[in-house]
Amino acid sequence: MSTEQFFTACAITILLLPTLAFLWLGANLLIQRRPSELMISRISGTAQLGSLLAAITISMAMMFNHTDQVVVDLGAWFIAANYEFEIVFLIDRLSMPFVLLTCILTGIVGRFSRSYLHHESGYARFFLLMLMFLVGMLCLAMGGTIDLLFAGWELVGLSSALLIGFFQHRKEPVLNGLRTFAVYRICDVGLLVGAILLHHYAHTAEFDLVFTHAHWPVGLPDIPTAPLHVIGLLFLLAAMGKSGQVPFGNWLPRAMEGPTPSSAIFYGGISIHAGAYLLLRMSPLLERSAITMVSIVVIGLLTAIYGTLVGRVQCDVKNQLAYSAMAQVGLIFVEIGFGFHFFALLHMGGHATLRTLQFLRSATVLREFNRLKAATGGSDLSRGGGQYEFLFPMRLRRWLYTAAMRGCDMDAVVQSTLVGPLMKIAGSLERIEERWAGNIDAKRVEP
Amino acid sequence: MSSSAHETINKALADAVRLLPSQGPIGVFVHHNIWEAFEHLPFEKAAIKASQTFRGEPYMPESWYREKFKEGRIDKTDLEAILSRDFSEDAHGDDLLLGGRFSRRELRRALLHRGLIEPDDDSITWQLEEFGLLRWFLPDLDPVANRAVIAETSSWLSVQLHTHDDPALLFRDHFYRMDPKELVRRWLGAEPTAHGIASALRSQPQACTVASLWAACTYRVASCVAPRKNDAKKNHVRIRDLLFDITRRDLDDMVHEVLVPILASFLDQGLAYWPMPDAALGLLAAMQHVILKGPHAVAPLWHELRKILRENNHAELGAEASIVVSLQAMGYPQESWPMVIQETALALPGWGGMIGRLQREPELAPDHCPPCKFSEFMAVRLLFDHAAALVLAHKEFDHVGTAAALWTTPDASVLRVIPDPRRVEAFSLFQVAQDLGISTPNLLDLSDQEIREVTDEIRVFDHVERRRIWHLAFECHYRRGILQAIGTYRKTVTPSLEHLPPPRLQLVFCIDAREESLRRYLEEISHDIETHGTGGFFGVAVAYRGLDDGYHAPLCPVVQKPEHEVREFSMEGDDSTKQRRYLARRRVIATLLLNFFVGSRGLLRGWLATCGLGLLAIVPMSVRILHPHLVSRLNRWFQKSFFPKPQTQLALQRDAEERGSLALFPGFTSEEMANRVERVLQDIGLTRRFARIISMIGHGSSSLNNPFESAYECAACAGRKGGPNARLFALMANKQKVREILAQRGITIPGSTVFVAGYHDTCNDSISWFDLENVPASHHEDLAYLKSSFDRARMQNAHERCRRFENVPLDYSDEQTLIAAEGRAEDLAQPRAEYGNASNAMCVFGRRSLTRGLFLDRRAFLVSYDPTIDHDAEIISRLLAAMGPVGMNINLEYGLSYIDNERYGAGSKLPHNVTSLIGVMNGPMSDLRTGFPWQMVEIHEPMRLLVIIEGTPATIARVAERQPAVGRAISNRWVQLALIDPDTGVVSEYTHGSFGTVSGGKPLPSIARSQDWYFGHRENLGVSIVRSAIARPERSAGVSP
Repeated sequence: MSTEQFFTACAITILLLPTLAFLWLGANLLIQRRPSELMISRISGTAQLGSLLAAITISMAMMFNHTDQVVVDLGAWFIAANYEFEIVFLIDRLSMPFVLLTCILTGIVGRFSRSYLHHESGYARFFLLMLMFLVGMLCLAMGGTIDLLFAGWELVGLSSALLIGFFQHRKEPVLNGLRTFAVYRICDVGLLVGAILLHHYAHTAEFDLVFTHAHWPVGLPDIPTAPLHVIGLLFLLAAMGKSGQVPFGNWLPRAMEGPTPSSAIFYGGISIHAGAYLLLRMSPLLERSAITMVSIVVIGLLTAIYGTLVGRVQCDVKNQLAYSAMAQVGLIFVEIGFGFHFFALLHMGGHATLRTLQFLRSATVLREFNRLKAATGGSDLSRGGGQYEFLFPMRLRRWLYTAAMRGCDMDAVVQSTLVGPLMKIAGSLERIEERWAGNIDAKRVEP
Repeated sequence: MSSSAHETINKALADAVRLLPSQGPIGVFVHHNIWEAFEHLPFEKAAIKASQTFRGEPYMPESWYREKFKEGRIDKTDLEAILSRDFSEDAHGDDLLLGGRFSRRELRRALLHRGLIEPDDDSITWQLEEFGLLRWFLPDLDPVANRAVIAETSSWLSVQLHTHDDPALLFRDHFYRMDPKELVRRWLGAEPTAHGIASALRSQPQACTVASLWAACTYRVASCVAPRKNDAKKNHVRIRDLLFDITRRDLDDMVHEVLVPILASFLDQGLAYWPMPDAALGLLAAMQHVILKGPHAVAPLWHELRKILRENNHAELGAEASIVVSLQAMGYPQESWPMVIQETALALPGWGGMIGRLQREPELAPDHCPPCKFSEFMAVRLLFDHAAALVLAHKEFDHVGTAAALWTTPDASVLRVIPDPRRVEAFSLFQVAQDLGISTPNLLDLSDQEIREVTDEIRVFDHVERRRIWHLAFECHYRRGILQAIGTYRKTVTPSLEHLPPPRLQLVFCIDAREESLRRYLEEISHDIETHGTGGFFGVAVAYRGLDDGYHAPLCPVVQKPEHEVREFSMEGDDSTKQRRYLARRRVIATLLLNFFVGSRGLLRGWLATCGLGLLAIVPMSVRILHPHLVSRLNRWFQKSFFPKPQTQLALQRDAEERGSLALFPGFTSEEMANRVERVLQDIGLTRRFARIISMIGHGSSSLNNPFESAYECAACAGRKGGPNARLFALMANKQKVREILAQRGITIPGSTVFVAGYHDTCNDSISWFDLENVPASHHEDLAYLKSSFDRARMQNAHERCRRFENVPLDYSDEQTLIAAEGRAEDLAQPRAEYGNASNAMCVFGRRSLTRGLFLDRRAFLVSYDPTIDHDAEIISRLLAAMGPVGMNINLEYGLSYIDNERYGAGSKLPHNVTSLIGVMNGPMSDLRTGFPWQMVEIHEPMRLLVIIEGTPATIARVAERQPAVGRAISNRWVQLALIDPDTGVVSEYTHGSFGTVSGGKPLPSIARSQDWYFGHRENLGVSIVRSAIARPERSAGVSP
């Protein structure tokens, strides 16, 4: 087997195993068959483990071969007029760490969910969505074209919204799932339009070709400056939505409606970093647009400050974690904006891992606080706010407290300017459809 | 404010807060009766009243009971007994209906077994067409009877077709304004002519029969049942209800989104980095400050709130006046205020209940209690309601003007009209007629009076009534089974052990249902081991501070307040280097951990933590999740190697009279100790025949990642671990001075008797012992026996317990299940560390000999009580007063959390989110969830606690006199009561004011060891005799093999 074949086989394995598991489970549910819990967790666990092993193999092989980048080209899936949907995987120093991280964290969370969701009526649905997420994430990470990345991106978004609404019998999860989905849709416009523009100006969707065969993080895209700014800002918009940056970040706390492991893997762990990953992937392109880079830094900084400020008044575990995750991802944006690619990657890995653990054990907080309090002699250790706060006058502190309690009204602003109008359009479309359906179903009987 | 308004408000507030869950902060779980406010009513009435008030379920759904019927857990005789009793109390009795065609009993029986589809008016048509109800008979009817009905109807129809001018009218729905011809086309697929219908009658006689029956039902109900008065407008209590009907938008959602974070911050015990400013001023003032400060508000609700608060300084007005202002601003007339306040309180019961509870008992707060007042909660809530009503009305229909004007807005008058309920009645009649084999001509022949009788009967016997009967039958079946079993078994045992020599070990446990199996296994080991049960605080109500604790915690039932405090300190002394070093080391580590906890959530420290240490988290995470058992062992090793806990002692003896720093007595005098020891020994009837070792076993439970941990702990120790109480009791009873005092009072404990204390963790089934170094050498052999017996018993106990967990294979060995149990306790991913007292069903007050040797499936609270030494029912009165309410509340909390888990319980554990360190919410924001989560109750069976007392009706009369609360619970039937006569062993049950003897029953199955009975089973099991656990083998006569 040649090296190239070997890499191709491994890359396919990484993606194929979870896809097969997903299809198997989905097909079973479609024909109303429910495999046993053990069967579901075994099969998805095996698929995850297989992916992980393949990813480790590739990484080792790359390390020993001193290879920075491998492009696995499987040819075109379909061709329509001038458009080709290429199946290309890009295996490099950016995608492999991210794939490893994804496999490890979803593997651990999958194992966690096996007993955590035991006896839950949505057990199979949860694993189905988690596998869908994994497929999406791997596709996003390894995708060698912007089209594949987009496909993965959408799978991640969809599974995320469906998991937020996991408890369908209550209305809050469903509403919040919908809300998140709406923000995703708005921001995904950025990725979609950006991808089209990239096609237009670079005449290809393949990263390898766009960046003229240079190895990440270097790359010399041959695109005129003006469209470059537009494309950069559009990708930034997409990244802001997915990574919960200001001003779209308020879906993040709302996303805590799902079962704890899904909150952990999505909003503590992997999914929230997808935006940062997109920026890293496109960084050779973005770096040629100063406006974009400055915007990234500004947005990141604003988010870091916002997340910290609002996080300080949260008095429940999951909201605290959500806002602190938001703030750290803001810092990751800043790092990317300054061009510290590898550091941002390290920060991403560390943050994802630690946050996932913190989410998974969020319910121990009662016991932990009791113990720590006892061990420190019952002192009033819980009182925070002794860091920089004393620098501010009392009036300002109260002002900030209220501002933080209100989430700086960001929710209201986004609601009234973006989500509200979108929902209105959706509503009127629905009414039109109903009218049409009414016309077709003329036999409808009025009592 | 007028004084009458003031009075109205205060009374309404007091009434409303009583309806709310009184659970308190979750760290110290207080079991409460969710229907507490209705305890003054008989149970069955309370169930209806409470379910209406809380909009929850009164009983399980009918399908659940029918399932139990199929399983044989309810049988026909139970149902008949309940029906008969109902008829005996009913003026009409078991009358005949429909001119003697059948009796009320037959009708009810049919309804019970089939049930009724009871759709609302809108969906009847859908039901009829979707399920083909106009095409076929209902499923599962007798085919022979069906054929007879078809034949009868067909011949009648063929006659009618020729005589009727418009035969389509035979299939007319009399509530349905639609052309009958169209109906014939739709229902029968035939032309609406005599010829078309006749051919349909030939090709599909069943459809014609059923469709004409439906037509006849609608006709008869429309013609002879008077239309009942419809309120054109629905009764809107709150402005929220009105707005909901106009806009279909829920005002409560808007309010809660803002209000809940404010409430949570106000009550926060230290989780938030910034505490709420001015929380010390009370909720109203703190809220007002938060709302009014800060930048210009864009969010409409905040904006409106600021406007209202600027117009009127509500914090200065005070809570009651503020409530009045808000109520008036929303246009509520004064007579509706109590109802408005009640309904408003019930919109957010968890948070409101928490504030109410902390107002009554601020010491329940784990850290500090802000000044909680329910009136302020209500004032704040009404302010929010007012503002939100304005915002919503403005947004949805451009309402400008006051909130009060909303009641007269044109939108309010065009509300949904409640439809004619008679069509629903016709639909019920349609089902009943099929069930009882009544054909269309039969139905048309009946007189109006007869039709009315039947429809009335169906209406009265609605689903709540049917479920009540099912529920009573379910309880009756279980009760009879248990009472007969215990009665039969009683005939074979001698309850008094007076004639026997003292055993080698006497073990005293908590009454907890989880200890039943452990006790059984210990008794299986040898006849030389006797067990007893009493409240797990062992009569020692104390504020205790262990070496590891930061503060004193009360260890006694919540209703008691400890008068004494005890501290644990190192053997070498309170100020010894060893203790200081130990504490200092713990402090350093704890400070580090806490800083990491807080810091990793911050910005800069979080940046350092995630960049620097983040990736390392993979190690603890993967090991914790893949190998919980290994982590627990590592943890123990780490603790042992680096934080060896010094040997400790308790500061028990007190000689001085004055109270100490906490306004509590430090320790106990010998007299006080003797009182406590005497009382417990009397309670359990252990006043002679002392064994060489008497061991008190406290219990508790530790599990990871479980906010409900405290709910698994000892309820008699206020949701904490009962080890220290056992230890204190043993120390007291071992004191020479105490024994001297006891001897003077007639309880002579021989010098050869040693008391030993132990602690049982019900989650991982571990046993630990206290102060073993005090046991004299002469008893070391007995001590070794004690320990080895426990080591064996706890393994078997784990095995029996684990049969309930579906992810523990049934064929595991004892050792394997013990490891599984230990693993569960340490597993982050385990939402069911244990099942607690789930499946509890009975409570026995009596000598252990009555139940020793019976397999009671961990469903029984066992209270040791010896009626022969109880003069004038003194002991049983205090036992019932102390343990009756605890048992009843635990039982009702499990039962109600099972019946309606979303309403009375905490829902699924999976999305729970610990908030303010006092409770859990669903996800980012919701009401505080009280009661038990589904994962704790899923194996429970809801039924009222069956209290079995060894005593006579006279005893009970005396108890009711002494303890009116106990008497009330019994006469209102919140528990089921049964008696076993101490002398004759006759068993009687208390139903509706009198005692009736329970006799009969099959001989009990008998097995050698418990495992033979439960092995391979996951479900609840019946009673059987465990031969090896019987007190004396030679007395096992009368047992069928």
